[in-house]
Amino acid sequence: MSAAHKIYMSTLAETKMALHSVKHGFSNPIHGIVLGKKSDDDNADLLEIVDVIPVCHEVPTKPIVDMALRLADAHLQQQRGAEKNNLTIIGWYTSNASTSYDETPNLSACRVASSMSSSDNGEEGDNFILVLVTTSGILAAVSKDSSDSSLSPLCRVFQKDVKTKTFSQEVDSALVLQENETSYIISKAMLKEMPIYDFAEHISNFGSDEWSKMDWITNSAIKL
Amino acid sequence: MGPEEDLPTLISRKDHLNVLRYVRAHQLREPNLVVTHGKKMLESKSLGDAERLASLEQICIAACDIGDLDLAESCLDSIVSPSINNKSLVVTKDSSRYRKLLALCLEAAGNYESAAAVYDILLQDNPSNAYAAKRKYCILAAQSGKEIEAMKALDEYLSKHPGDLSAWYQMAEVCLSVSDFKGAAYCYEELVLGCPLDSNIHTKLGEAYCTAGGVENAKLARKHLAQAVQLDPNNLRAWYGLVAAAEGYLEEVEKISKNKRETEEEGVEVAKELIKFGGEKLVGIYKGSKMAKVVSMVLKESSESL
Repeated sequence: MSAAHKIYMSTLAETKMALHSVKHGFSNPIHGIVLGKKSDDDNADLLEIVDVIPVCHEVPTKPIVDMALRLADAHLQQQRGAEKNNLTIIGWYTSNASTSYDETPNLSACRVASSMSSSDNGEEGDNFILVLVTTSGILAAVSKDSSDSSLSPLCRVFQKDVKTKTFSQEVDSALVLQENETSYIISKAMLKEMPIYDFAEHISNFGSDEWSKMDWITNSAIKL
Repeated sequence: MGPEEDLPTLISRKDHLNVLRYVRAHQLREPNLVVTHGKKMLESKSLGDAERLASLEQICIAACDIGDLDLAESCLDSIVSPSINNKSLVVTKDSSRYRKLLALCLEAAGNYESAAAVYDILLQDNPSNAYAAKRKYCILAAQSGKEIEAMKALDEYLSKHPGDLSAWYQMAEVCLSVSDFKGAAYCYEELVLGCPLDSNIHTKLGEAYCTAGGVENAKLARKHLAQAVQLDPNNLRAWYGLVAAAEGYLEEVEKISKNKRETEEEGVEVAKELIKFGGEKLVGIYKGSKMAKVVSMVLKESSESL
């Protein structure tokens, strides 16, 4: 990463990724968009992950990715216009279909991240991140002893390797910051079975009674 | 069980036997329900032998599904137990139905070598045992690092059982997971042969062609997504796919040489019309909903770029 050296992960973003993974992640990969901003303050080396937009729980195809990104972008433009926030698309998140303890992001997530980062201009593309929700992280979140801070973090963050241009360079976990109560909040959200919807559910359930509730962009039912 | 009996009614009435029967008859995957009601039902002594054996089998499979291996093992033991009144229903360990269950329990326990050995014996006795062949593939698919072997096993299975649509569906998913979109499209083509009127399969086929790239694939993507919306005008995924595929086709045409572009003139006109048509349909679907403005912004951008 050329400029930002530290990453701050918001509890809201982690909770949504955890809920998405738990809802669909059993033998399915999950994918979604990461929203955030570079920090404006004096500590300029900080990338903030503020929120996420779940996209699908299957291998993403071009129409799904294109449409989800364009709708997300239009939504963010609307938010910026109304001065509600100034978030941009800063990355992609994923969770693998098959579980293992030595995980790296699956191939389709790496392809999506590569193509998204190369279509951005110059520096912005270099700061693009790929977030992996790990199996061990989910296990830790659902375990009863979630107050133990030595448990595995939910996510690992990857950036583009300068030489190979692939998302294989992991960001040191010591540089990924989060709020103290995050594990506890995530466990609580899972116990409450807070509803979460992704783009794929939204487009596959048109006509059902639940369709109007499936606000996959904001998932406003998730309150911490 | 009459026609007015639905699952919530049976559950509230604590009619354990009929809950299990309902799940079996409708081929539902409800392992927690089966285990809860099954355990209570087995306590009853008034169960006939045939019903008891069928229920034990069902509970055993459900127990494997939720990882309750102790329950699965106790079901297996009860099945071969000699305390059965009707002598014609006695099950021995040689029974192939028993062996299928045993192998499933071994798989659930992670003991893949022993499970594969049982399936090999079943295949020796009957080489066309499709179930055993499929489970051998599943054993490979369950282990990380064996993706290539799994694909070969599934390929071999499909060469012997080309009519098995669920296997073609599985192969399509495997191809997608290794980013072989052309391969996935081939599998979906087989599925379309089997289910030509299924809008969702045409949608998946169209999406696979769109992702594979190239002018010819883009045309096929357009064709199948158009078929999907014709078969089911409420298929929102297909409408999005149609607009994306038509745009994808225009992008591909831009990349080819000028001489070849002339042959695609008609296709380009069709694609532009499809983008407008699909766009209007999508805007109409979202009218009055929360996403209306965002959808209009995206589709306005599409039509302005034409």
